[in-house]
Amino acid sequence: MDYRIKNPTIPDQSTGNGVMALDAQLRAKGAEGWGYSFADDTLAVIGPPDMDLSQFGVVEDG
Amino acid sequence: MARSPNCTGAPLFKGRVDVTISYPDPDCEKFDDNPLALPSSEPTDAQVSYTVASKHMPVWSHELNHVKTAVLYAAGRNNSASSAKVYYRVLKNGANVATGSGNSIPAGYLYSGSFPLFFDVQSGDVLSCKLWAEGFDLRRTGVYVYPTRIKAGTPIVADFSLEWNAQGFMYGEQTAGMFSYWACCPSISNTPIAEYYNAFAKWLARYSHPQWGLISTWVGDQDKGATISASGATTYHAFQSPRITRISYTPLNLRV
Repeated sequence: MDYRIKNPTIPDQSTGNGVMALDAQLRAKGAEGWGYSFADDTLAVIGPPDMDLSQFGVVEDG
Repeated sequence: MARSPNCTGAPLFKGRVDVTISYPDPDCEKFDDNPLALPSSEPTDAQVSYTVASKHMPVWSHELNHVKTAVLYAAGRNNSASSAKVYYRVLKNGANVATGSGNSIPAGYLYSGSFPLFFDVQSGDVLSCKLWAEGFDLRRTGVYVYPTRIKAGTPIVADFSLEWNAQGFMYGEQTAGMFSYWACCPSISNTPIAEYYNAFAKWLARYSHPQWGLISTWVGDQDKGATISASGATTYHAFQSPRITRISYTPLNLRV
């Protein structure tokens, strides 16, 4: 299932440590993969149904 | 000559447009016998980097208005004893485009990364990707540039036909059969016009949408999602759009 969060509250993605920190947070929620777009300031997450991603922002679809 | 009911005597039909598009051989590097180990933390320099040049560009018999998009590829193997994932950072001309990580890759499996994140590329653009992971290597890289949002000179056309080649090509024979996310789609929808393995479609009439044109691709335009996924023991995936090879239509001199 795909989830999308605009203007997410996430670790700074300008560093590799920030990428891995976000990955750890998302995997702990059950994410199977994810991507962050700088231009759109959007986080896309792939994972099982009913993931609780509220700590990152408002899920627009999923 | 037929006359348009909403025009002042101008011909309804204009001359037939019949355009072919050919593509260069894929710019793909294979170093399976001498793979590059991925670092366990983000590297300073990108391991995958291509400067878009004329050698990457599709060749038109008569160029229609369009936008170019590109996909960057990277593939290798998980040499560790356990499943793990690969992290990525994608850049265009040195600026951040995207970060992320893909599916967990089982031990001993090949992985394939496809990064269709470069809408509106120009000659001279530098497309690059950094990869890092525990116990992985890099064996293949590539880049693919293709047109999307192809537009007609008039808003309505008749007898519109489209031909494309959906065969996987990026990694040659190892791509075949497992290659691709397909996609050509209607102008303003992501509903497929046909299964990807079909190679021809025809419409009695078609609207050239101001944004999406007569035809736009899915991968690299409407879908800009990166993927890194397991691809088996000997086969690589390269998510790509089918290559449009011919477009023909009759412009209609109608106002809408």
